[in-house]
Amino acid sequence: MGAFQGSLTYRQFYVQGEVPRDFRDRFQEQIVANAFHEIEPASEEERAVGWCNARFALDVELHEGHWLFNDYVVLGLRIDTLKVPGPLLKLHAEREARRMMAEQGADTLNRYQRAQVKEAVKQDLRKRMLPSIKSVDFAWSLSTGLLRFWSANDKLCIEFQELFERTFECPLGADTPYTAAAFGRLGLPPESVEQLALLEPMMLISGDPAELVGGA
Amino acid sequence: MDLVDLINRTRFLGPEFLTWLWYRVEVQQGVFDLGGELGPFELWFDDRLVVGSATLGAQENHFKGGHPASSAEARTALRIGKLANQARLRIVRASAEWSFILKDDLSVAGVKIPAVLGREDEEQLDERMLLLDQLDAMVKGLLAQFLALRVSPEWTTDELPALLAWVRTDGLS
Repeated sequence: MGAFQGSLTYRQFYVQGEVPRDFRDRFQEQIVANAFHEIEPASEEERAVGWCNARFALDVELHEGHWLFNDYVVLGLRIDTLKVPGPLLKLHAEREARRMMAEQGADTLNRYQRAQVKEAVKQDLRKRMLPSIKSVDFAWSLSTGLLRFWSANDKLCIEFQELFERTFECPLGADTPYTAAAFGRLGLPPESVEQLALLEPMMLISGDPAELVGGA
Repeated sequence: MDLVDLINRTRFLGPEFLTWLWYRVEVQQGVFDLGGELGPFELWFDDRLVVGSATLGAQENHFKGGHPASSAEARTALRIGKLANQARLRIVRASAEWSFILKDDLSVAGVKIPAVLGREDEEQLDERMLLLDQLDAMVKGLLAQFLALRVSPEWTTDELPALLAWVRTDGLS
């Protein structure tokens, strides 16, 4: 979602540090190491995160032609979730419990048996479910160091930032008024950047705001 | 102070920038000229505006539809100490037009860019990025103007008094 088509909601970051000369080989190795891996239904894993092809999220066999486009590194952050909804699990566990009681001619199951039934039903449902798939693109200009990530969700941005820094070994700085100035993106002299750090917020009012409402 | 502390310490600059931009749009009738390659363009506040104040802990006001930036209600919110948190802006430069929501953390949402003509993936990517780079350059040019003013003596002597005087006036509608 984002880099090639679709919605244009994004947050910008500045990639700090130099791009290594052998970036093609190094990035390829690290991208593969951090590529998306499917959730194993037999496991307890409910969420998986990794890189995918930005043009087709199910493609996780990544090679250079998938992630390098002229000046841009473009990948999708794929997030799969495989979680059995609570109400669904409760219903199916109850059906299985009733079936077992009928089979055993019992009126009830003890707590331990019910827990076992619930776990078995959960595993069975996980095998029959498909995970929900979400993919969010980023596009990083190697020449300018400006990166766009197609989400403004704070939690997702942090998750993206961690995986990006682990993969490319370059720190990411969020685009804010201060960082834009401090990273030399605005052409402000260093002394102005130092002064920014010392500023106090401007106040449009003085006194009690409640009193001013009436006078507005 | 490390970078995270500095970002948090200067977080107020985002709402201040949006509010200053609102003021500037009104007094300059939306005409800006950043010089250089960017040249002149028109910018105006469109049909969506959110004002609030983290400092006052006050409720946010969401204005939707019409032209909220020139409404008396929005100006009243400024007079009780609130600042702009996000706004839908529209920029026209030559024959190209961008529409987008700019938030006070500089994230953007719902961007509409001029038409992309490329058919191949790589052409589309290059065009989309170029158009977003142009948008970013205009926003950053305005941010640079604001920050340069904000740390200058003229902020206290000229710009802030003029902004406060504007806040005290009623909107146009």
